[in-house]
Amino acid sequence: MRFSNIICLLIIAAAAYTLYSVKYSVQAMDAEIAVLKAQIAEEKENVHVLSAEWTFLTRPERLSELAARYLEAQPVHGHQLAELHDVPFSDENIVQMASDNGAYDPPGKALEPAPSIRPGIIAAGGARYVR
Amino acid sequence: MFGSYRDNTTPPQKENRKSSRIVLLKNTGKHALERSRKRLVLVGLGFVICFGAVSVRLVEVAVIRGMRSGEEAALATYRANKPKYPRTDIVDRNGVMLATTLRTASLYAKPDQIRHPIEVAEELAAILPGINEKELAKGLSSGRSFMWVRRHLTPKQQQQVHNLGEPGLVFEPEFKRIYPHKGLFSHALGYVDVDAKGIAGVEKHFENYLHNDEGDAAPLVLSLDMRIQAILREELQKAVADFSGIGAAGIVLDIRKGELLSLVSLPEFDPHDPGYADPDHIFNRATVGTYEMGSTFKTFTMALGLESGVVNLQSGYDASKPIRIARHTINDDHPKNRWLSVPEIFAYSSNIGTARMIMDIGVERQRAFLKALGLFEPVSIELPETATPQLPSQWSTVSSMTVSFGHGISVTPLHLARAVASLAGNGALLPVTLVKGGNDGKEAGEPLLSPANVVNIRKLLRLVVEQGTGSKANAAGYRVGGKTGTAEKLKNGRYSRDSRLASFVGIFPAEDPRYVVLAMVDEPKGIKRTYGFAGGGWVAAPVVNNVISRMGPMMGLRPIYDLPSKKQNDPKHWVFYDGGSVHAVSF
Repeated sequence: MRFSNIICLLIIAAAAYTLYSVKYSVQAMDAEIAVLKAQIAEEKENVHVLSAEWTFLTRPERLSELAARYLEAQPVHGHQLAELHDVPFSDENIVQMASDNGAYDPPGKALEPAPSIRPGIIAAGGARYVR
Repeated sequence: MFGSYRDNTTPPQKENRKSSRIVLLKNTGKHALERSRKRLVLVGLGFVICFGAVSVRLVEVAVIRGMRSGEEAALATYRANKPKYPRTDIVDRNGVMLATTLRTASLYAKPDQIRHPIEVAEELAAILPGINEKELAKGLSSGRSFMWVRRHLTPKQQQQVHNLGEPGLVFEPEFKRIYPHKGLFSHALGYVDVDAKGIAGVEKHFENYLHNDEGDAAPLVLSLDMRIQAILREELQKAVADFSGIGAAGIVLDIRKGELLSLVSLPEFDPHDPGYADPDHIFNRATVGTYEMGSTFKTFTMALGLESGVVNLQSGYDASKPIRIARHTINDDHPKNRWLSVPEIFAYSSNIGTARMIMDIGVERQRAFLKALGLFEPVSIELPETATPQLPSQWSTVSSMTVSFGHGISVTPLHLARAVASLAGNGALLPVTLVKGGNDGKEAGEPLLSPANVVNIRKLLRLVVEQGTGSKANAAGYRVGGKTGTAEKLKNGRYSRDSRLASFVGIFPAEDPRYVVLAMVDEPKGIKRTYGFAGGGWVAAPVVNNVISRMGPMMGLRPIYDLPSKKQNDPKHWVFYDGGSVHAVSF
């Protein structure tokens, strides 16, 4: 009887200790979470501000001015575009792969052909003066 | 009860004791009653004092302080109405930020807590440029309890004010709308007022979405493309500078989806400070400005002539003599003084030929067609800034003729771009939108043109660029089609030769158009390089050429350079690429 009481008391003491230690560690963690949340919010805010600044600094008018001053690059011209077919060593499989995953529009896919027109020829003097 | 005591056998002493106990009890009761009465009074007094204090405080707060707390009440109302979450971002079709909201601080003062108002005003004036020091000193000496000093300080200013260490100066955390591209999207985006409420443009149209109380809305994705917007603006700015124009408008419209890729109105303004902008700069020339567009309207007359069967590509009209009707004379700007075929009338922009054609078509059909093209109503778009076209007061023969070549009717550039996109696209009125995917799931309208005539219109537009007035729009490899327009502006009731409107509306690639590009320059002046000319072909067509040359590769469109060369100056022969093969067309 007495022995079991002692055991119970010991268990209670152990449970109480565990409870308190867990509770305090949870409290500490809560505090940590709050701090982290605040930090995350602050970082998000900073990222937001920086992305706004990035957009401001990479706006096209500024980039074109900087490019004109420091680079010798020119705007891309249609002449510089080539078909994948035009590359001398191009492999049909590569072309197929590229068009399958949407990286490349083979000719005829991008431009849906309009109905072709029949060259109409009208004899000289066939002009009609309406009115 | 007492009588029964006498008959009782119980000893009298006992009885006495009993009665004295009763008396005693009576005495203690009396005493207790008095005591509790005293206590009651005490408690009552306590209550009176407490409630009295509350009442006095109530009177003080409600009546005495209420009189001078109007300013504080203003702050309280302001706080209650202030947005709790930052206004939702706006991005372009590729996710580039167009508008965002950043945290800032506004400065207010509690003048009743400021001891040296003159000195504080002096210090503040040194930190905040443009503030009226005298007014500020007056406000700070007023002894009021609240006054705004300056809204939305920069972080540097905030630090400087903070360093003053004046307890009567307080910061209010706030949000400020930021447009990283400054004026580039000013007319499409619009702007917000000082409390971040949208009052123009997309900001106003989507006020409910952008101002959300949940703080979890996804960014608003517009159909605009930042790159194309920048190109169009730059090219228009060059044209305005070269020809000393007073303004310009430009539109790039996706013909398949009806989405606007670019919407430019020049001059632009800084959307952060619309209050300081010239009203003329805030005016949206692309969607609110209505103009007599001139020859670009011939596209509609041609389409109607073909669709109604009145003309075909082989017929034509005599344009050898001006038309004289009711005190008016209709002349050609590029007179050929001979019979002209229908394609020639269009390519050389003959007013005479177009006017004769509309006479055969009839005014009723003309009105019905223009109405169906959406030219009688404001364009439905996600902007509060739209305009109703100005139509002729009566549709007489003369007005029917002038409308056929774009005079006597005023529409916005957006009307024009949409109508051309509709005719060269799939032949039905195209709904236009500023939102990415804004037209998804919308049914196509009633067809206005048969597929065959859609192809004819594309060919006619291509002809104008290949051999007609729009040759300067011929961006190499991109098969541009289009129509020039040069209109004299009505000044004080008279058409003025000096104030004109030069426009060009182009489609590309002509065989299967993907985009409409419109450029319009307001009041260009002729220069040496253009031999003094300032018409659509000289001013606006090169803008469209440059825009297409630059945006074509960007949009992944394939240039084709091996088209057979045109036969110079032979309008009866033209070359048309239809996506599969190239046709040389003679007629």
